[in-house]
Order: sequence, then C-alpha cells, then structure tokens
Amino acid sequence: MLELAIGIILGCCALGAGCAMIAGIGPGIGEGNAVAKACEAIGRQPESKSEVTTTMLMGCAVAETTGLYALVIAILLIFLAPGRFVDILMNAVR
Amino acid sequence: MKLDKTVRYETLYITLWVIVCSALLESVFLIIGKWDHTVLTGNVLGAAAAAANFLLMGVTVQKAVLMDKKRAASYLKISQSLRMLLIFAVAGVGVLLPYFNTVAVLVPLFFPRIAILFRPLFGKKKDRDESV
Repeated sequence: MLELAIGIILGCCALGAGCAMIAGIGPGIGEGNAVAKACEAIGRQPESKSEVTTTMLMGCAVAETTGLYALVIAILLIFLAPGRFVDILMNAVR
Repeated sequence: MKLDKTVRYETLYITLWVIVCSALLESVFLIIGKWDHTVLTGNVLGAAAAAANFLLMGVTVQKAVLMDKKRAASYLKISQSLRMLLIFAVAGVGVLLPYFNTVAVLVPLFFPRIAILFRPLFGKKKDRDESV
C-alpha cells in the first residue's frame, strides 16, 4: 500500500511538471510572431532598426519570463516535491 | 560574430541590474540569518544563467531581424527551446547538487524581468521621452 502511495506521488509530480511545461510553448510562438513583425517593420523602415531591436529584445525577455515561471514550477515538481511529499507520507504512517 | 551596439547596451543594462538584484538577494539572506557559501555559489550560477540567457536572446534577435519573416520566426522558436533547455540544465544542477542553494539559483532567473519593469524609470532619457 505504501509503495502504491509513493508511486502515485511520483506519478502526479511528473504529470504536474509535464502540464506546467505546456506554458513553455506560448513564449516560443509569441517570440516567433514578434520577430516576424519586427522583420516587416525593419523592411519598411530600415533606419529604425535599433529602436525595433531594443523594443523586441525587451518584449522577448518579458514573454520568456512566462516560460521561466513554468520551468521553475516543473523543476520544483520534479526534483524537490517528490522527496517532501514522501517525507510527509512517511511521517504520517509512523 | 560582432555584437550589435543595441544588443551590447541592453545586455550591459540587464547584467548591471542582475548584479544589483543579486546583492539585494544576498543581503536578504544575511538579514534573515540563513546565509552560507551555498547561497553565494547558487546566486552566481543563477545570475550568470540569467545574463547568458539574455545575451543569447540578443544575439538571436540580432541575427533574426536580418532574415526573411518565416525563417526568422522559426529561428527564434528553435533558439527559445534551446535556451529553455540550457536554463533547465543549469537549474537542475543548482537544485540537485548540494553546493548550491535552491532559492538562490532559481530567483536570479527572474531578475531580467525586474530590470525591464524598472526600465522606464532608469532607462535612457530618450526612451523616457518616447514612452510618455
């Protein structure tokens, strides 16, 4: 029974980490769209390349933070949460 | 490859902010009495990863703006995935090895976001005028 409980904990943590990483898809698509529009803008006005690059860099960094939040949650769920939850379970059993 | 002037300036700005925020993080650990050498090593690892991530993104953007639309979009998507893997590897090392404090590794990854948040206040005067 205890093995089953530990298995459920590990499985749920892995599942949760996988679900969290779905959020990592968004920034990639968003950044791709942003750079496509930036290319268009620079093609129309080549003299504004520096301003467009600056704005795009900042926009990409902001978009990427969303992915980083998901990544941090996934890392915590994979590496830290299982140990903590198993400890809690063991303490409850004793 | 030569770095664009804009990318160099922005990376320097972000790196400076990451250093300032790292100092603040260290002082918070000192104040709460939980500082040890793992906090310093973890902070250095996390801050270096955050700055390197921004620099790599800058290099990618610098190359991508010279490409055609479709190629640029896919180039940035691939770059984003690879950078995410890099951050995952760094954070994994930071969490698994006992030489690094977990919080001190993970928190600096968000320092560039804080730098961008305060950019309208501390950015160039020209930027401020444009944002008004």
